[in-house]
Amino acid sequence: MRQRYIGYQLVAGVFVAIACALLAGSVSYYLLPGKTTLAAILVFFTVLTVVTFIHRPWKTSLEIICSYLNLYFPQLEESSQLIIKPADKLNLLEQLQVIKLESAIVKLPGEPAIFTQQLKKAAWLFAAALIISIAILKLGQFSKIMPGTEGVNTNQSAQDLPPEKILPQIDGVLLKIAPPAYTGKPARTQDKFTINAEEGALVSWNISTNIEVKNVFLLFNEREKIALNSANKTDWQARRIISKPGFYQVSIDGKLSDLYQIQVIKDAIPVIHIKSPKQYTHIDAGEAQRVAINTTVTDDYGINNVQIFATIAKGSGESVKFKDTIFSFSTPFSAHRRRYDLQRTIDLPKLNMEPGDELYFYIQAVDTHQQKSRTDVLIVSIQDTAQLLSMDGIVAAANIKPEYFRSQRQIILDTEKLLKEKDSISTAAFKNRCNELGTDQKLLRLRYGKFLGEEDESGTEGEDNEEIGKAENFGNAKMVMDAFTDKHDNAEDATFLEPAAKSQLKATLNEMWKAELRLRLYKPQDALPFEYKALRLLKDLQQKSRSYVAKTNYNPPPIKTEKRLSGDLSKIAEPVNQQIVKPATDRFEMLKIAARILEQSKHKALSVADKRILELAAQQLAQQASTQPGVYLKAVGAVRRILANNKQISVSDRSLVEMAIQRSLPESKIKPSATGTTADMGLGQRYFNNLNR
Amino acid sequence: MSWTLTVIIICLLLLLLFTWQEFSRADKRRLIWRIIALWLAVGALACIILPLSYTTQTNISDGTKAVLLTKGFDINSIPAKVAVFTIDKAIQQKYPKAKLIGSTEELTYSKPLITHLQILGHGLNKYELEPLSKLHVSFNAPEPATGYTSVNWPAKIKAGNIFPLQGSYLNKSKKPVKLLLKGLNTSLDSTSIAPGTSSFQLNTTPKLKGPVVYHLLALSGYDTLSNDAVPIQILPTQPVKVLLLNAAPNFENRFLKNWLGENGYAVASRATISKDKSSTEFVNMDKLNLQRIDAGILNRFDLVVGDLSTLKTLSPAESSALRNEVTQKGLGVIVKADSSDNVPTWLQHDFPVNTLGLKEQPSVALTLQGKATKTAKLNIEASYVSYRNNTQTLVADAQNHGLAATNIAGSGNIIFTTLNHTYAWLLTGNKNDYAALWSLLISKAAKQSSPAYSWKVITPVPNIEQPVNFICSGATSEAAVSVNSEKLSPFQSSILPYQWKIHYNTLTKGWQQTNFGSKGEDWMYIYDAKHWNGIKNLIKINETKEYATKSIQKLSVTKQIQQKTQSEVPKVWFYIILLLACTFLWIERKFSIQL
Repeated sequence: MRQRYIGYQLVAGVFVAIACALLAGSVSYYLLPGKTTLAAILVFFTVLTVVTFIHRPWKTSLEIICSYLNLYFPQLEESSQLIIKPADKLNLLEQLQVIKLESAIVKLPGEPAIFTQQLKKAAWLFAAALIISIAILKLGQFSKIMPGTEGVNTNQSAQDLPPEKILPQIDGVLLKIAPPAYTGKPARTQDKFTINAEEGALVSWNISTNIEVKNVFLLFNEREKIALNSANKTDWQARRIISKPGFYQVSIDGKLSDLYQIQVIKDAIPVIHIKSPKQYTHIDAGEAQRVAINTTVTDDYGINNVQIFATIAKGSGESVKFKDTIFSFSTPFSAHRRRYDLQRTIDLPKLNMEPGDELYFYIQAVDTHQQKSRTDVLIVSIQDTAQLLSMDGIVAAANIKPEYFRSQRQIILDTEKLLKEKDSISTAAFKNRCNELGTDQKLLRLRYGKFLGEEDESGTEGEDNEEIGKAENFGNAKMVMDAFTDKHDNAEDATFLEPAAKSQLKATLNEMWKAELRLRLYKPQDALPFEYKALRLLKDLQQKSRSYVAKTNYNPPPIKTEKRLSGDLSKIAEPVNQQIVKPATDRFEMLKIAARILEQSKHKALSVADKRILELAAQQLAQQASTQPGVYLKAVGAVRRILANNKQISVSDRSLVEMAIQRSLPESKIKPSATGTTADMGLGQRYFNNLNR
Repeated sequence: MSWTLTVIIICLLLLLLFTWQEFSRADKRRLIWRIIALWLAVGALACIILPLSYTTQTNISDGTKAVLLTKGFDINSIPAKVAVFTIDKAIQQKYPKAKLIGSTEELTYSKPLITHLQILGHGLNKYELEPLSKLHVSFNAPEPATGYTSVNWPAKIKAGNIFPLQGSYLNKSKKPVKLLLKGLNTSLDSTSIAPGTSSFQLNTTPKLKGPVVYHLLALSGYDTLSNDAVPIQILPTQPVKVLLLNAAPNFENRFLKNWLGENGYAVASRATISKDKSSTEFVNMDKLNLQRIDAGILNRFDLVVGDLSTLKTLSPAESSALRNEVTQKGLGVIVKADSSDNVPTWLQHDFPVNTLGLKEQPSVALTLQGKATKTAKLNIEASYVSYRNNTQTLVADAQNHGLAATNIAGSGNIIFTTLNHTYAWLLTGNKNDYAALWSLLISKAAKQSSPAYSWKVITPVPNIEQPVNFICSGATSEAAVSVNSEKLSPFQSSILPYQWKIHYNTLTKGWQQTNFGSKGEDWMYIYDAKHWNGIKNLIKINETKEYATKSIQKLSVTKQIQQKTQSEVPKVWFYIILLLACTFLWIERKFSIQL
C-alpha cells in the first residue's frame, strides 16, 4: 500500500512537470524559436526534481500510511499500526486486535481518497496547461498569418513560394540585389533564384558548385546568355542590371535548370493631391487678390523637387499677352522624403495682375528616379470690374428696368468713394454715410423683393389706416381685409418671373442683404464683394431676359427641273476602285491547336507532330511569360515537363497549361456567316422547284 | 471438334485394349458379362467427358420466371425463389446469388426455359433488349436520382457565337447544387440549382476553335457530384460575298464595306454619283461591270444590300433577275429603308413602316435577336418596321418597336431595316455592337451554303462499351466513310439515296476523326463510360419501359405455345453407370479369386 501511495505521488509529480514543460515550451516558441524542445525538456526535469524533493515520497513511512488508513476506514478501529509492529513485541490485547484487524483489512473497500487526491489535482493542472499551450500556439499562428494577408511585406510572399528546384551540381547560391540609388534602399542578399527586384537593380549571382564544372551561364527569356566567371571552377559569379520582368534559367555544363522568375518593382510616379484652390477660382472685386496653394505630394521612394509652373494671361481678345513664371515651394527637398505637405501663397498684384487677368498654373513633381508627374491646369481669374460697371449692355437693350441696376451700381460707386474718403472725414460722418448706403441697399432689396411677392416693409401702413378710418369705408370688408392681411401668394407675383429667373433674383436679394448687413455694421470694405456679386447676378438676369433672333438664311433661286441632270457627262470616267485586304493571321493559332492536343492527350499518347506544336505553343507562352512571369511562368515550366516526359502527362501540368492558354487567348470576334443546309444531293431544291411549278 | 474426336479415338483404343486383355485372361467364366460391363464403363466415361444432348419440344407455359439485374437495382425488390441473372460483373460480385451471363441472348435458350423476364434496375440498352423478343419482359422503373434530367447543346457553333448549354436538373438534396461550366480548366459560367427540379442555361463565347471539350460540373458544397464532358466543335466562319447597291455614296455603306473587307469578305459596291454614272468598288474580288445587274452577276453573290430607292429604280429586267435569284436560288436581300416614294414593291410588301413625327432622333439601346444583353445607345430614325404575322423581328428597341425584320421570299430571305446610322458605333470605337448587329443581319439573310457532307451521331451518349450509330449525308451517291482512317462499310438508306447509316464500335475515347471520302474531316466524340450517367440511365429506363410495354402487346397477340429446345442429358447417370460397371468388374474378380 505504501508502494502504491508513492507511485501515485510520483505520477502526480510527473504530471505537474509535464504541465510546466508544456507552458514553458509554448512560451519559448516565441521567445526562443528553434529551441522549444530543449527548453521544454529542461523545465520538465527541473520541475520534476523540485516537486519530488518537496514531497519526498520515498520518505513516506508506514506509520503515515497507517494513520491515513485509520482516518478513512473506521473498521480499522484506529489500530492499523499494530499490524506493522513486530509480532513478538505485541501484548495479548494487541495480538487479539491484530487477529481482528487482519480479517477487516482484507475487506477494505480500496484505498483512501487522499492517495489519489494529489494525483487528481496534478491531472487537472496538466489538462489546463495543455489547453493553454494549444491556445497560445493557435494564437501565435493566427498572428503570424495576419501580416502575410495584408501583403505589406513583399519579401515575405517571396519566401512563401514553394521551394525551388535547383540543379544537383549547385551547392549554394547567393544573390546580391543592389537596388538603384534612387530607391535609397540598402543592398540585400538571398539564397533563392527567384528575383523580386526594383527596376534598374544590379543583381549579382554567386553560385558555388559541389564539383568542378566547365561552364555555367544564365539564360534569360530563352534568348540572352550571360556567362558566369570563375577562378577555381567551383565558385561562379555574374552580374546584371534588371530592368524588365521575365524569367531565367541556370545552365551548368549544358544542363538547364528549372525556370526562375524575375519580377520588377516599378517606380511609381509621384502623386500630387491639391487641397486648394479649386480647379477654377474666381476672385470677385473686393476680395483679397491672392491664391493659397495647399498640396500633398507622395512617392514610393522619394521626391526630388516640386514646382509650380504658372502662366499669366493679360488683356483680352487680340491683345492678350502671356507670361510664364515658375514658383518653388519654400520647403527644401534635399531630404527626399516620401511625402511632403506643401503650402504657397501667390500674391496676384505682385505679379502685375489686374482685374480681368487670369492665372493658369500646374504643379509638377519630380521623384528621385527623375520621373515627372503634373496636375491639371488650374485657373484663377480676377473679376473685371470695368466691364461690370460699364453701361454698354444696358444702353443697347430696350428699357428693361435700368433704374434698378443703376441703383446697385450707384451703391458700389458710393461705397468705393466712401472708402477713399474714409481718412479725410470724421467718424460720425463716415458712419452716417455708411448707414445711408445701407438704407439705399435695403430699399433696392425691397423693390426687387416685390417681384418675388415678398412682404412690403416700406412702412406705409399708417396711410392705409387713415383710409380705413374714414366713415364711408366702414363695413367695406374688402378694404379691411386688404389692410390687415399679408399678401404673400399673390397670383400675379407668382407668375411675374420664370422660376429660374426667380431663383436667381432670390440669390441676388441674398447678396444684397449681406451687403446691407456689412454697411449697417460700418464695414463698407466687407460689403463691397457682396455688392459686386449682387450686381453681377443682376446683369446676368438682364442678359437672360433678352431674346435672340437668328439671322435669316440665304434664299437660293428656284431650280429649273427640266435643266437638272441634263449636262453632258459622257466624257467623265466612272471611278472604279479595287483593293485586296488580307485578313490578319491568327497569332494564337498554335495555342488553340495546343489546347486541342492537350485535350486529346488524355486518351492517347502525344505524337511527334503534336510535340512540335506544343513546342511552338511553349515558345508563345514563354514570350508571354517574359512580360508577365507571375502569371505564365508556371505554365511554361509545365509545358516543358510535358514535352520532356514521354509517359503520362500529369493532371496538374495539363491544367496549368490549359489555364494559361485560356488566359492568353483573346475573345473571339463575331463575324457574319451563312447558315448551312444539309447535304442532300440537291433534293430539297428539286422539291422546292417542283412545288413552285 | 478435334477434342470430341480425340476423346472418341482414345476411348475406342481403350476399349480395344481392355477387350483384348479380357480375352487373354485365363478365367473365362463370365467373359460376356465382363465385356458388357467394360464397354458400359468406357462408354460412360466418354459421355462424362462429352455431353450428350437431345432436342425436345417444350411448352411455353412450362417456362419459369427469371429476374435480370441491371445497375441501380434494389436488393429488397428481388423476388424469392426465382432464378437471378445479370450481365454485369460488378453486380455479380455485389450479389453473388445472381448468375453472370455473357449477353442477354443466353437467357433465351437457358434451361429451364425462361418465359417471363423481370428486369430490375435502370434497364438495358436497345441493342441488349433486342435478343429478348421471345420473352415476356416486364420492367419496374426506379425513382429518378439526383442529377440531370435533360441536357442539350449545339454540337457545332460558328466562332464568335455564344455557346448555350441548356438542361434541367433534379436536386433531391436539401442543399443547392452549383453547376459549373469549365473550359480549359477555367470556370466560364455557373448557376445554382435550388432543391427540386429546375432548368438552367449556361453561356460562354468560346475562344478556341476546332473540337473542344468543356466540362459541366455539379457541385454540392465542396463535393463534386458529377463531372461530365461537353464536346463541341467550333467552326470557322465562311466568308459571304456581298453586293452593295446605293443611290448615293454614304458613310453607312463605306463603313460596312470596310468592315467586311477587313474580315476577308468579298464585297462589291456600286453607288450612283450622277446621272448614269456610278462609282464602283471591289474588295477581295475581281472587277465586274456592275452597270447592269443580271443573273450572271447576282449569281456570284450571297447577299445584296441596297437602299430601297435603288432597288425600286432598277430596270424591269434587273428587277426580275433579282427576284428570280432570290426566290429560286436563295439569294438574300437586305433592304435599307429610306424616304423614297411609296410605290409598293415585292421587297417592301411585308414590311409596313411606321414613322413617328419626332423632331429629334431618339437615342436607344437595341435588342438583337438571340442576345440577352442590349447594345450601346444609337441614334435612330423614328421609323419602325411594324410586325406582320409572317415576319420575324430581328432588331428592336426598348419599346419593342421593330427596326429590322425578316421574311422568307421563296428560297431566299429578305431583311428590311430602318437602321441607317450604325457606323456611329464604329466612330465611337464600339466594334462589338456593330459586329453583332451586322453579323445577325448578314447571317440571317445570306444564301444558305450547301455542304458536301454532314454527320449526325444518333446514339445519345456514345461510349466505348457501346456501338455507335451515326448517319452521314453526302452530296454524292458514293460513300467512303472512315473513322480514324479506318474504313467503314456504310449502309445506304433505302429511301434517301444520299443518306448512309453507320454502325461503329470504338476502341478509343475522346475525339475521333471522321472522313467522308476525301472531302473533309469531321469529329465525333466518344465519352468516358462515367460521363452523363444520369442521362444514360434515363435513356435506358425509357427504352426498357417502351420495350416492356411493346413486349406485352406483342406476346398477347402471337402466343407461341411450344418451342424447340436443346436439352442435355444429366451427367449423373453416366457417373452411376461407370460406378456400377467398375464395381461389377471389381467384385467379379474378388469372388473369382476366392473361389
